[in-house]
Amino acid sequence: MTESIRTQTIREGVAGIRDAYIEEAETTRYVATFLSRIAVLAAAVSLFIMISVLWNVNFPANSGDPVFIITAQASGEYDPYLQEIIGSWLSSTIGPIGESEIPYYLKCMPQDLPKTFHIRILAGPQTDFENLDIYYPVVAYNGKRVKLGDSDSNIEIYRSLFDPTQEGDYFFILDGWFTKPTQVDVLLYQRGALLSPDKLIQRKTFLISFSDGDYVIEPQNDNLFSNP
Amino acid sequence: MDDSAIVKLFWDRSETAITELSKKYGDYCLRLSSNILPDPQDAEECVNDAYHALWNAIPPERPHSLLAYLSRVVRNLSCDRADYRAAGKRDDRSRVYIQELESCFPAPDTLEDAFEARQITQVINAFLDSLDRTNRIIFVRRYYYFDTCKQIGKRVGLSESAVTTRLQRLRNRLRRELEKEEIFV
Repeated sequence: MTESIRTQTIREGVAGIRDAYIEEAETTRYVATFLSRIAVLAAAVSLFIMISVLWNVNFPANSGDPVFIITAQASGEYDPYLQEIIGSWLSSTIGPIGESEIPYYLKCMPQDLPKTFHIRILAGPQTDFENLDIYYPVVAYNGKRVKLGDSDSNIEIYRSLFDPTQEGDYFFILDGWFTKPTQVDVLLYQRGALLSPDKLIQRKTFLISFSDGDYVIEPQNDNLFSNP
Repeated sequence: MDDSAIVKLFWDRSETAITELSKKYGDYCLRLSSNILPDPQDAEECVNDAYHALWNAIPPERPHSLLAYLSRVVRNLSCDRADYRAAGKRDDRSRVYIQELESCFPAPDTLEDAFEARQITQVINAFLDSLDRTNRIIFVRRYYYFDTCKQIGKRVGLSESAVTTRLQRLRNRLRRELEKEEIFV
């Protein structure tokens, strides 16, 4: 069969394609594919949500939430102001400071001086500082939560050292006497939802221990936006 | 106006039949013809010839699908016109695309072994039955409507290269089936 006859035969053969297929090919438009893409997108979103739920991932309460970077460091400097506060606290919680009592507590400290733990909360670059006070930190000391300004038998957090009107490092101080490795959790919640897991926007855990007569602070995790 | 009403106008020998046909399928016919004929004037003439052919054919014909029936007439007339214009040239789109498909069909040893167009239609319809919708549309748009890969891609929501790849796979699949069935052209 010559080339042109073959071409013609095949062309005629194709011309006999079923009416339904000819109509289908003409009437099917991009919109059908567009809809299927929407369906694929919807399926992907559903899958994502399902995985998120299964993994119990919590997201920031608002997309505009500032991101805080929580860091910790130990300061070896003696702070007479803090010493005064601690002394006052000791007198109010334990009673009058007696010579026999003070050395007992001081003996627990590696260097016979109060150590100051700076737990810093650094606001992220997008932070609206005027609204910073809608967040507040909660510290858990060895698993027991201590609110800002409250005191535990072995830990104190000084609210006065917060200055939310100033841009920069926002830090509060845990003053403590630790005689064994201690876990400190810093949890940042939205105000008005005390300890509500879905309002927790950040958590960081530090392990405070001793080495060579000094405190060592080691971040234990960085589980941003996760449940405590 | 729906197709059955237009066909009825043809049967009633109403002159508005051509007007209604042109109103509904004029653009469609011109697009199909333009895919085959590069000269717009040729394409327009073929479409008009197709209307005339329908006027002569209906009645007695009563097409089940007016769109498919009309498209076949436009396609055949346009291909014939393209053959006439080409006359030794090998650059018209319909010929190039059909030759692309031709490579799938094994050549027979003797003329007697060759399949006729009617048998090829059966084979191609069976092949189309086995395809999913998107692939079927791609195949029909390419070898019936003579669309470019770009045009097909727009219609089915795929990139031009994806359509090219799919066509290549479809031809390979058709070739394998034709060889298995020992179908020669």
